[in-house]
Amino acid sequence: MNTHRLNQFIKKYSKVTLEIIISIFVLIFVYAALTKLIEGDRFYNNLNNSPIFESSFFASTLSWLIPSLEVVVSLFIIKQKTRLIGLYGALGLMLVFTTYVGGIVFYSPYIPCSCGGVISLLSWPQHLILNICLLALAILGILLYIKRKKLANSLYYQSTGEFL
Amino acid sequence: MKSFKLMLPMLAFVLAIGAAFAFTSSTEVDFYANGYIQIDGMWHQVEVDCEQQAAFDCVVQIEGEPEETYQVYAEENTSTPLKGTAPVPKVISDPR
Repeated sequence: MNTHRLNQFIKKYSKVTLEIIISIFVLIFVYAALTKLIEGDRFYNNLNNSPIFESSFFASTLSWLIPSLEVVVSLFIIKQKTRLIGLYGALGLMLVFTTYVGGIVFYSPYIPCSCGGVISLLSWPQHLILNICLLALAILGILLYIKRKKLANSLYYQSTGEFL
Repeated sequence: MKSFKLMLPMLAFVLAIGAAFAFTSSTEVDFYANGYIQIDGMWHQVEVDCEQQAAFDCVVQIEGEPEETYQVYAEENTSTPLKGTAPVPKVISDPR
């Protein structure tokens, strides 16, 4: 496939794909953040009883820090100007979550219960697979956004002789 | 066109808010009463994620009191002990 066809392909499908990825992350992060805030005691207890965290200080700090970050990242993703920062934030959060779930699945001395919300219907290994998929979506979103930005700059330069 | 680009993420935002409130169980009457422990002869409700069948006894420890552990029961009697997935006591806030 030559460069022109590749650019045509990206131009045609990347917009819709990117919009879908953005909507998925907004939906997941806002839902997760609000669930954690509404059921704050339950989330704190889950963290406090996690085999990975030894101290209740981490549990109390993370019980408000994580939902706050999720909301902030969602807002950054929604706003056009901060979308790339938001996508990088989503990537960072998914890396942290995937590492945590991977730690529980592969290294934890026992598997705790972390119940609550729709995603509690998944087992820990299923949760890990979901997180890996979301991680891949975040990477794809970033690549598509950067590619579209470069394409837009290139087309603008071709038509006006100036860069965006 | 620009507002349309914003519309889909905003719709997702609103849907997520609705879903969070729709799926949360915090308004149920027994949301915070998943089990009972006996302290000094008195029964107290506690919130733990334990069940009837699992590998370990469902045992809790009150935060700040590491020396005492309490078996969790499904009802206010000792005939239905609950089981848990963890071999260590769960730390909970004081139910008294």
